[in-house]
Amino acid sequence: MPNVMELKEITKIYGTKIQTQVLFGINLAFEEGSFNSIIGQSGSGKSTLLNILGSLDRPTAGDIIINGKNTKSLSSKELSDLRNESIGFIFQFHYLLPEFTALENVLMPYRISKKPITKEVLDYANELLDIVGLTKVKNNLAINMSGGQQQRVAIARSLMNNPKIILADEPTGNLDSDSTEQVYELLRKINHQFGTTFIIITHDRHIAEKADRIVEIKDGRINLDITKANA
Amino acid sequence: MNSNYEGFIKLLDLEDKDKSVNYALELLKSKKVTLEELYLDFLAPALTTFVCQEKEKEICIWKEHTRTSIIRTILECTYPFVIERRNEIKKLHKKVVILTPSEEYHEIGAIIVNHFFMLAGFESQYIGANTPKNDILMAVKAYQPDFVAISVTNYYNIVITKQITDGIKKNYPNVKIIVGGQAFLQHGAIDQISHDYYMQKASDVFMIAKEVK
Repeated sequence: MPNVMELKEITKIYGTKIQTQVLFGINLAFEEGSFNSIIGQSGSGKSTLLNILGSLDRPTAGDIIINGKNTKSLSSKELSDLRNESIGFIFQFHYLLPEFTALENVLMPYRISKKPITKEVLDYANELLDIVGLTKVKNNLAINMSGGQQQRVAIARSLMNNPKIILADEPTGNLDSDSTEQVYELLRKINHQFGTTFIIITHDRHIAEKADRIVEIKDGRINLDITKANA
Repeated sequence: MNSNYEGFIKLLDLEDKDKSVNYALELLKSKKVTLEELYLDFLAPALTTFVCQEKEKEICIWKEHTRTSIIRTILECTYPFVIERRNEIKKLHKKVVILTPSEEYHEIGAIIVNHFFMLAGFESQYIGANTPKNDILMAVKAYQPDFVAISVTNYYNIVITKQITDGIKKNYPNVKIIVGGQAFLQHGAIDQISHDYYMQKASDVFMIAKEVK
């Protein structure tokens, strides 16, 4: 499978007078449709790496190639467009708007892009809510849903723009073990159904051990990178 | 394939523990198979080739664990045969510690390898499954082995295994590290772990024994 995202010799240094180097020459490539986990202790540099992968932050040096496009030469607007069309985000905290319903939250990325909500768009949002098993509660306000339900709404929302890549930062960090299992099954289902590439930062062993690939970051470097033989 | 294997598998498929244990032990007593043959040609394939039927998918883990439990009982029952054989074997005067890392509960492979090390003349100590990193380093310090053998099945446990092997190499550079198990079949796993020997099958112990003689 072709690579959907590549990092070449990525370094990240914070500060000017007092410099702190967080990433040291990271080279990583993610195949289209793959299911990857990134693990590492707190302070290892994995969140910085995720921010750079998601083009939320720029590296100090090195190249990021998303969907075949090198992001180095892109303007902020072009980068933002590439991000919106290529990458969906899931965070530990769902960041749903509490006064909106599940359906309205799922539609939010579309509303932000100021495109009209056509019947097709509405149908797709409903389909996504069906996939995540929330059809019955789609008109409930986000604030009235359980933690597991809220995270599933956030997952449906991340898929609204049909991204090729989902970046997830501790998606099960706030969930109990049953909800964790449900969220994992859901991510896998999306991975199989849409061929979406998943890059998941996690402390959760139960998620990491089920991924097809485990990348361990230690002190800003790749310490370990193993892929299941049958992946 | 040994002609008795089919009969053995039939009993295992029936989950008849009593008959499976008696069948295996009778093969040893009547010298129809050696200990090595029992381990390599009966017990190991009975686990690695276990396939769950489609209609039993929901109880797959339960069935696999039942089979593992029967194999474990047979394995433990063979220990007197190991003792008997060991008395006839020339000692190598080399110590080996065998373990599985923390969160690794698959230990049948490690126990078989422990028996193989004994049969090859090593002074072998199996310190258990799910062994925390610091306890492993303490055991190496206390026991002062020539070798540490680590068995890993779940590929996530390669992460902690790397910490263990790096710790052993840093603190006890003269101790040789042996690794083996299903986890090392994954891409990149064996290349990224500090080791001196990679065992692909339990009988590789005899090659190591030959080297240290």
